[in-house]
Amino acid sequence: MLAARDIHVERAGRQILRAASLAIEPGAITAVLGPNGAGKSTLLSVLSGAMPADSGRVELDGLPLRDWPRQALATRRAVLSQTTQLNFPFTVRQVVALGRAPHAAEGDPDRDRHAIDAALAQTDITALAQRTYTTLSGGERQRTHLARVMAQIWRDAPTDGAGAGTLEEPAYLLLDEPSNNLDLLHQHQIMSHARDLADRQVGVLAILHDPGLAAAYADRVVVLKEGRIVADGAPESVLTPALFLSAFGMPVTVVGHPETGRPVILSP
Amino acid sequence: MTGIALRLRPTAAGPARRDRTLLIATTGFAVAFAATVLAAIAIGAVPITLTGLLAGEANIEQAVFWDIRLPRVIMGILVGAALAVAGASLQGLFRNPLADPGLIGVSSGAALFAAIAIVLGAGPLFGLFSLFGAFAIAMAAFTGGLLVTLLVYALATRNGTTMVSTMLLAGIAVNAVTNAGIGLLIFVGDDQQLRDLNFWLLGSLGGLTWQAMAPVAPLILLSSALLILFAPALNALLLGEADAYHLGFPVQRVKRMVVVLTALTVGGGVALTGIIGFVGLVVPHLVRLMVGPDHRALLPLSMVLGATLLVGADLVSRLIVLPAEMPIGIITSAIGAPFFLWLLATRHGKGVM
Repeated sequence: MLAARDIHVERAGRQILRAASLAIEPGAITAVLGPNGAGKSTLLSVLSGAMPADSGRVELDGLPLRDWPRQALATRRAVLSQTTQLNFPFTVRQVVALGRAPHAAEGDPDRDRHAIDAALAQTDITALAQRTYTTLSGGERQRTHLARVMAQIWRDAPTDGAGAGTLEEPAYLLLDEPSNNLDLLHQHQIMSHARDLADRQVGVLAILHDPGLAAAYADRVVVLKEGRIVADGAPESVLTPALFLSAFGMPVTVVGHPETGRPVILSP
Repeated sequence: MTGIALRLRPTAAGPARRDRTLLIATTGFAVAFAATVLAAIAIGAVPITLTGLLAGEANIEQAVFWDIRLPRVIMGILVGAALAVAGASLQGLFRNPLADPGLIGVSSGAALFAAIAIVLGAGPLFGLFSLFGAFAIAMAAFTGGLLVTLLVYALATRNGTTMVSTMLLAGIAVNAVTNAGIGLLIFVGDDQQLRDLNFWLLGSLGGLTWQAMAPVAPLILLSSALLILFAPALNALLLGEADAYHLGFPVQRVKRMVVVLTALTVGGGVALTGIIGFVGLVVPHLVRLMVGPDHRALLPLSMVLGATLLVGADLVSRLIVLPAEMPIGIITSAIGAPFFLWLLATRHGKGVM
């Protein structure tokens, strides 16, 4: 379990997170929603270990993150960040192979190759493997980085033929607005890849701007407002007109999807 | 799973093709390096032949080979490799293909201190360097390169975190200040000091002795070799510092070590040879065009190509105005700058630079 308890973060005299507690469960997608400046990205940074909290605990399997060896931690949790700045002409395959860096000490190139091949295949970019990254479209780049983080936390397939993650040592994937700047089809492709990972016991946390995506894909929705978690639960129970009014200051209508029954948010 | 297995097949050719490219590049670089080194040893004011070298009795060819030609070629190899590997490492660290070893202040710091030692040599502070006798200027330059690099690094570091973007700007500002200092020293220097200073600022591999090289060669070799160990970290840093952290790399330690190692390797080189421009900027570009940006191949191959180009440029500098020698910095800049413009013009917008 990757869990943050009672997290406080203050920067430049401003409370960014106040008493935030959140445990990411393996095998589920947890979506984080909230208005701009609510502390969503800070929460993700604290959960990843990149940003120390001023108080509170962040633990993976009961051990504080700062006590984990860097490489061991990197084989258990990966982050798809918004700020990837790659502008050097790697091939797509080379970018995905960067995800295997924390496994260098294992010295198992066959396993690395297998993980890279599988990550390319699962994100449907096998055909792009030899393309130069800098010539790709935004959607293709995003899928390349998704494949990279999947290769990073890749686990040998269990007997049932599924992919990443086993119940004993589940992996965690933190996605920071993975659908940003993507068109409709690619937004849903990214989220369905996340769904596949969760189905293979990866614990997925995704910061989302579009509550519709959260409603369609998440098992659990957490809403942040001014650094506090103001709602946490199943999409049907969290995504209510009252929540949208209090957290976002926006009146909406919520109806059930005619086929899936999941909530659909209609703006006025 | 069969569907996945079928889709995997097209990628199988990819890595193999890249391995072949790497093999061809490595072989080509090795051949070019060997040919250039042999030519640089054989050709010169006194031509050196195998028969002369192997002759039983002592002769002028043997004396030139051991005392002049060989140390000069070895220094060319060391400094060329040092500049190129430093340029490639800093381009990776700054995620900017226009970065150059001079950017972190090591060259301008070395130049400022060399200028002070040349013009104000006997002063209270720099009199200290005269303890090193013939190596006074080299020691001053080495010290200056390290001190100014540390200043640039410190200016860009807050609360234990170094901002590489700030470091880029701090480097530009500090370089401007050191240039002002050099300008002032040129203004107050006499004619002989000006000639010495100018010669140093334009770079030369001439007049190097084994004694001068003895402490510098291991320094350059060791710090360059250690830089190669940081290749995987530099690859990850191309994604950005946050992503490199997420991949398990100790980002701050990598930044500090890469800056220190480049300063040591470049500082050790320019202390003896003076400023040699464009090798550190152009060589990594050339290698990247051939084998891609993976630092595990880029760093060692940059060392080989940098050594080849600098030894070749030195050969040209010795021959072009016989019996005099042209400063090598003029050759590298005169060839390097137009070549770089050509790269910019032809490669821009193709996702290569």
